[in-house]
Amino acid sequence: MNMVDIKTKKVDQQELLMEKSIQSVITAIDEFDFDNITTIVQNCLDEGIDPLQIIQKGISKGLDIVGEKFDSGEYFLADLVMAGEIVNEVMPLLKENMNPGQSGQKGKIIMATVEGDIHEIGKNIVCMLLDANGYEVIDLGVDVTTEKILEKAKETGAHVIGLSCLLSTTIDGIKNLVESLEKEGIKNEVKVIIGGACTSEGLKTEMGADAYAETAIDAVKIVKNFTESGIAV
Amino acid sequence: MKKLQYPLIAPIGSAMGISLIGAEAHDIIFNADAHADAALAFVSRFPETDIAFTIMDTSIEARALGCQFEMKGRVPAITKHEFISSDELLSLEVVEPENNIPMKINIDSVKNISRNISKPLASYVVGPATLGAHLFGITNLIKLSRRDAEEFDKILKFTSTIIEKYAKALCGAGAEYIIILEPQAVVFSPEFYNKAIKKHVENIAETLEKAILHVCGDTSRHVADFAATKNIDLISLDWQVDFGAAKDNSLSGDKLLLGNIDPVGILQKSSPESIKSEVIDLLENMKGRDFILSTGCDMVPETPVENLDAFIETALIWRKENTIDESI
Repeated sequence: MNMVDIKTKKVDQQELLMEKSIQSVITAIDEFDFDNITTIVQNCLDEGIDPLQIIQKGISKGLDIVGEKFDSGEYFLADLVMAGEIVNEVMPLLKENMNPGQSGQKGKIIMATVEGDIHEIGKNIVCMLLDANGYEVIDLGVDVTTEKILEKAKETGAHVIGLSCLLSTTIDGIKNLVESLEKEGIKNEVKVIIGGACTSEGLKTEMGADAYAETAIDAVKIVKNFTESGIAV
Repeated sequence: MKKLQYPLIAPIGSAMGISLIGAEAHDIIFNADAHADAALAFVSRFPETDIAFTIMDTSIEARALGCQFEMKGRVPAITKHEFISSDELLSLEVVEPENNIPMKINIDSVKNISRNISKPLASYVVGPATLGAHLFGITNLIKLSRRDAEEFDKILKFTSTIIEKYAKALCGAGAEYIIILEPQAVVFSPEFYNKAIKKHVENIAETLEKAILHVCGDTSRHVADFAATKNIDLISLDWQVDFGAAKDNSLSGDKLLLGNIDPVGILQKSSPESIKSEVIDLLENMKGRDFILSTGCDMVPETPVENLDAFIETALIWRKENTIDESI
């Protein structure tokens, strides 16, 4: 065995070890292993795996699997929340180890539940998924006024606004925001995505929003589509 | 003597009474007389309905235990989850409904309404998981469900004790039906409902003469498990559930179905003509099975009265045309 072979073998072994470690992150998320996720991620970091790689190949993949199982009916909302909590547990550790500029480099997303509505599970899941996918998420919380969202959009130059709305009595919040964005002349610079129990494709058209996300997973796909295709960057 | 006519007609519409008396939701929450006035105004405006309802408020039990809330639109919403462990919760005294302000207001309104109507009255309690979510926060409750089954069970045992006492007090005040509102059941898998929630619902229902289990949202995958919940007499499901499929596949037992016209998309927002067509479709779909024609969930105060008139008139005509005279 010559030096090149030895070097190649060493690289192969390292890649194999890396794959195995990344796979353990995926498995921990899919199996909701809250108790061990921090150790597993710390091991990955100790092995020299880049935090962004851990997010993109491990956490994102794990969440994709949970999302697919949710879409197919195998998993329920509680499972999505649990997967989200596991990710929330390790994101600070990963962010600590990132180089400046690595986090949130894909785009800025404002998330809010509309005024008069305090439901947050769906919104929080979308926030977590976007965060794990490398977006900078500005979570304004629940019961957020149009004025506050507009102000934040202008201040941050956000690319996308995600609005969650469960109560049909509060859907005017969507329309008000779209109209305010138009009035301020920034409607073309920021895309509005709506989601939540009382929203639909029809409501999206009626309210003048840019997209309707049926599930949290859909929301991420739509954001990716907007930002990666250059529609919203 | 004529057999009781099915389907019974029982839209969950008492909240419309708030508009009928020109009040605001806030007035109803804190005033037993105003609550009763609104519910009675609904009964008076729509006398053909077969069951009267109090006005739905899912925050009463949590407020009774000291949780903070805010009025969000027309509903009081719990804004702060007060507890972090079952030990903390179990150290609380079990509240006596007659001595607790939020519960007492509702008990008094039930007394007032039941004295003034000649039809059965239904009132509400929340389910054990829903109260658990109010006290701990749904995310914490979900985490507990995965990480500490024993702790989860302790919490639901405690919430069941509170709910049971309150439900009995409502019955004592004149409520014939108790509707157990358990919207959080659908957050969990049917397997988890069976394993960890169902027994607590059964224990509450066991102490009641007529118990209705209501779960909002798309519960299609849970229907069979809700139907298998012992001591429950009726199941109330939301508009997303296909009653035809539920009737044929899942509810072959002795439980009555109650539902399930969309209270917002159809009753509030569509026309009397569309409502008529939706009601006839549902009645035809459920033909041959006793059930209670209702809404999938609570109607909003702003529902146009002519829309509910169309709902009721259509049902009355259909019932007349389809009832077999069993005079003896």
